[in-house]
Amino acid sequence: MWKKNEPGSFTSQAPTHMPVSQPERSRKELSTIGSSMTITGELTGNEDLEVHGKVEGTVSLKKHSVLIGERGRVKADIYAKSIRVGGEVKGNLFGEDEVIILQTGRVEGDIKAARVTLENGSKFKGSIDMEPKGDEKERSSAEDSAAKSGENGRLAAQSSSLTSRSTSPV
Amino acid sequence: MELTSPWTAEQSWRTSRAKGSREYHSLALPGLVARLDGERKFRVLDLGPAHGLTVEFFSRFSCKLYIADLYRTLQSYRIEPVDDEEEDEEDDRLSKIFSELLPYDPYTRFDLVLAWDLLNYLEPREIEALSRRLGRFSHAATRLFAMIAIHQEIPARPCGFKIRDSETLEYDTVTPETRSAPRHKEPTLRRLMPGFEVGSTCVLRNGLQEYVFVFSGLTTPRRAG
Repeated sequence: MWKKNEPGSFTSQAPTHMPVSQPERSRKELSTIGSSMTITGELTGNEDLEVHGKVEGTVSLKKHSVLIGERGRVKADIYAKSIRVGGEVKGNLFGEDEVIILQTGRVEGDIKAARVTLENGSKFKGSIDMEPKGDEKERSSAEDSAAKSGENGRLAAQSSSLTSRSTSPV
Repeated sequence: MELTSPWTAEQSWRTSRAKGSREYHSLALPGLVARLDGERKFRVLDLGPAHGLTVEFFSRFSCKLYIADLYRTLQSYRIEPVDDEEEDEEDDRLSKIFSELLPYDPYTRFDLVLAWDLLNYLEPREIEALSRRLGRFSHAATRLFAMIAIHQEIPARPCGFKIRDSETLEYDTVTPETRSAPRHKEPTLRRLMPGFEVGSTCVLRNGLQEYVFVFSGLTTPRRAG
C-alpha cells in the first residue's frame, strides 16, 4: 500500500480500487460468458458483454459494448454500441459507434458501423458499409435494426449459465 | 520519387523483400479513386485480403467495401489440372467455386474491382471463370484494376496491397519464396476475360504493368449450355 501524496506514490492515475468520479463508470455492469459455456438464442440486455464461450443466435445490446474474446466463437448477428472481436464471428455486425476486429479476430459477415477498424493480422471476409466521416445520414438504419431486435432490459437466453458481475469499484 | 515493387528485377525484389512493407506509386489509382467522388453510394470489391489501411482509406467516401480474400479461400478448392476431355466438367466446377466465393446479391453492381496481383496466381481457366462471375456484378462503368508482372519471377503468393492514399499503395510480401511469372500478354487477357476490355494500361519501369479494364457486357458465351 502507498500513502496518498507521499513521494514515490502514484497520483496521476486513480487506482482501480478507488471510487471513480465519472458517473458513467460508477455502476458499469458487465456480463461474461465463460469459455466452457454454450448459449443458443437471443441475448438482450442492459450491460456490456464479454463472450469467451460459444453463442449462436442474436446478440442485441444496443447501448452497450460487446467483446468477443480470443476463445469466443459466435454464430450470430450482433447489435451493439461498440463491438470488438478477438475471436471468431460468423454473422453480421451492427455497431452504432464502432466495430474493431482485433489482431486475433476472424469475421465472416457484413459490417455496418460509423467507424470500422481492422487491426493487422485480423481476418475478414464480407462487406463493410461505412459512412463518410462526419456524415450521419445512414446511421439511423443500424439503430433501427437494433431497436427492432428488441431491448427490454433483460438477458434472455435458453441457458441461464451467465455470470454477471459488477465492474464498479469495491 | 523512386518506384519500388516486388516485381523489379530479381536482385531488387530480394532487397525490397528484406525491408518488409514498401510503397508502390500507382499511375492508375488516382483516376479510379477520382470516380468515387459523387453523391451516390459506390460499391468497391477488393479481391485481396482485408487491410485496415484500405478500410480507412475508403471510409472517407460514401461507399460499401466488399472484401473477398479470394486467393486464400480459393486454396481449399484447388485440385490438380484436369485432362482435356474433362474440360466441360472443370468449367462447371470452377463456375460453382466462384459462385460460392463471391456470393453476392444478384442485384449488386460493383463500380470498382481491385484484383491487385491476383491474376498472376490464377490458372487461365480460373481467370476466365472469375471474369464471368465478376461480369454478373458489373455495369457499363465498372472498372477492374489489375497488375501483371512482366519479369520472370514473382513472390510465390500474392502480396498484400493496401491503399495509403489516392496515389500510393503499400504492399507486404507474405513469403520469401518465389515462382515463375505467367507474364500474361494483353491478347491473352482479352481472351480470358470475356466482357472486360482494356481501358488503359501502363508498363512501368519497375517491371509491373497496370491494367484498368472496363466492363462492356457478357455478349459472347464461350460455349452453349
